[in-house]
Amino acid sequence: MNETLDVLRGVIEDVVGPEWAVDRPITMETSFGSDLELESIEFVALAEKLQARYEKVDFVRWLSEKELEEIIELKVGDVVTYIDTCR
Amino acid sequence: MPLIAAAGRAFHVQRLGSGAPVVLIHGLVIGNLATWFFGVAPRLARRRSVLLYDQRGHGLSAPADSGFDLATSSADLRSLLDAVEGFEGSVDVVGHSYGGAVALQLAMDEPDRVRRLVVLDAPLPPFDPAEVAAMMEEVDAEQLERLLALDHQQFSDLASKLAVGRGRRGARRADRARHLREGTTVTADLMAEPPLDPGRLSALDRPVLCVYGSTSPFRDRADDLAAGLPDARVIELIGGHLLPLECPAEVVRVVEEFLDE
Repeated sequence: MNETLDVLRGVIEDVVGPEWAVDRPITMETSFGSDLELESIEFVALAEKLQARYEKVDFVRWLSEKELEEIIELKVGDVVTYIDTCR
Repeated sequence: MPLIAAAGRAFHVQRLGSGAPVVLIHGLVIGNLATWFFGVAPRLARRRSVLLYDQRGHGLSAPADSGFDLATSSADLRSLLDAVEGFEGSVDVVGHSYGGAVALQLAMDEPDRVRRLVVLDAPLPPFDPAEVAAMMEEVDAEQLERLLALDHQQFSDLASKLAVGRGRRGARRADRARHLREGTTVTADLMAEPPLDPGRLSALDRPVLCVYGSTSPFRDRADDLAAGLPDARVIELIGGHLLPLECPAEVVRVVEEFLDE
């Protein structure tokens, strides 16, 4: 079991809110855009929570190096991999 | 989530980087601080202290039923700047769309608080009823993005991809649209906004950079605005209305050149 994935799941559920709990499990293949339908302002909240949880992770900078298209297509696994490479 | 109390309400703010202070103001209805957060803000934050905030009733700031006029929006920003460490003095101000009009209003109301000013593709009052009506009708942000970007193929394709959300995101957007149309004074505030006072504009002795999109519906406003200001110039970037999303690196390049002068 990937620990980072577990943390990220918790953060996502926190950001999305219980009333919108996703009916499918969040996996490495889950997409933030088409599966979770995360809005951009929710992505801000997600970035902030991850930054607070992982001091060495510069999530905003990592995202700023991507094109908007790449951000929209991001999968949960991409973020997990990024966090794990920072640690 | 960082909330700051100002003007008697809670504003969601984000701060990035360190250096000379610059505050970024998003547009009305379809905007929130996410306009900047993933593109313009982190680039500017490499050398500056960047403050982002959600305007009243937008993003994660407290909901609001009224007060979307320029005077109130400018007063909100002034209170917020008073409350944020490092922003109590003279700061650089960058506003997109309606946020650009708020930036101009702040500079006229509180000239001591503004060092340099960047107006990004701002419509200016009096607002065209047809434009405002179209915005209110198409207040679903993704539809509007697609509409505004029709002339910009790459962005248009992207916006179409964004627009597939019919579930959770679609429901929330519909809720927000309904609230803005039926539960707030946003349309009335926009329509009641008087033209910016030419006398006050001509007395604004701060350098102003007007950055407009080549295919934006507001492109023609840039030259009129600059002509009415004592120290203003216009830069046209290839793109439509949503420049901070379409070409954040280009926006940052021209903004930094101007702020560094």
